Amino acid sequence: MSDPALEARDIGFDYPGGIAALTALNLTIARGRRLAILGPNGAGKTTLLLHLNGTLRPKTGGIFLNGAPGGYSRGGLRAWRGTVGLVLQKPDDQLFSASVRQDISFGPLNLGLPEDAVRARVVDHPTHMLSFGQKKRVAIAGIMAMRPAVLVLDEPIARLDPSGERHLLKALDGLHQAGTTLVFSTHDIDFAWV
Amino acid sequence: MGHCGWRRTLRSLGMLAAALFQRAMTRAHHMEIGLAARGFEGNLPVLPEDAPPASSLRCAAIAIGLAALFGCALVAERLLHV
Repeated sequence: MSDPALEARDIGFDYPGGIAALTALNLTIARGRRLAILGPNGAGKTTLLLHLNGTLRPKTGGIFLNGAPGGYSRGGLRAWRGTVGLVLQKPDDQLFSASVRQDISFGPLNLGLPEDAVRARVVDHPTHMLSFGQKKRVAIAGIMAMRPAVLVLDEPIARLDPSGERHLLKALDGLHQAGTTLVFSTHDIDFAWV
Repeated sequence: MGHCGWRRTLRSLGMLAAALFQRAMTRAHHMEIGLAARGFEGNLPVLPEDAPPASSLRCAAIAIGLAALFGCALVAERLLHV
């Protein structure tokens, strides 16, 4: 517990209109840990996850990456997103290309990797031919191709069938074994305990 | 709602446009968050598609297509200028 990968210190955030989403929240995510964030709809799970990769900036308090405060400058965010990968609930919010190969190559190329290195991280398939479960996996692959140390997933099993759920769990297990710190939100108590 | 009469049509179209605009903006916002999470900074770099090998059949088909188009253009020009 002495080596936090990611920390939220006393963060508070409210949405326009004065709707308080987070108040004085403290969270320490130890390296190599697997953390489930459990709560009902509207509890602020997504808001918290959006803070963890620097999408939202807390009104009070701060997010600390490997002990240092997260930077919101262009370069700071680039480094942040290379370390913390965020998979959104809806894969369609993350996929933009008609080809899986091009889509997955987008993140690694943004990190400044040479084309040959990126080529080794991609596969090919037309994106619009995929089922929901497959799209979900492509969205995760698009993030994992960036090799983040911390993987943050928003409701990873929402809308997945039992077999899709098993596949995903297996994939997440593999990533965890390989040393990736996992953080995910869910409202499914059974999934949180797996 | 509906299309009985132009007033109602106009009103329905307005509501439709408003709903569409709202959805487009929401989707764009979500997409922005999703792409930003992957390091989006204004451009979309992707691996180039490996071009399929230019087979002789494909080249021939393209050449014939272009020749036919050129021929049609010549004939059309003749006909129009007479």
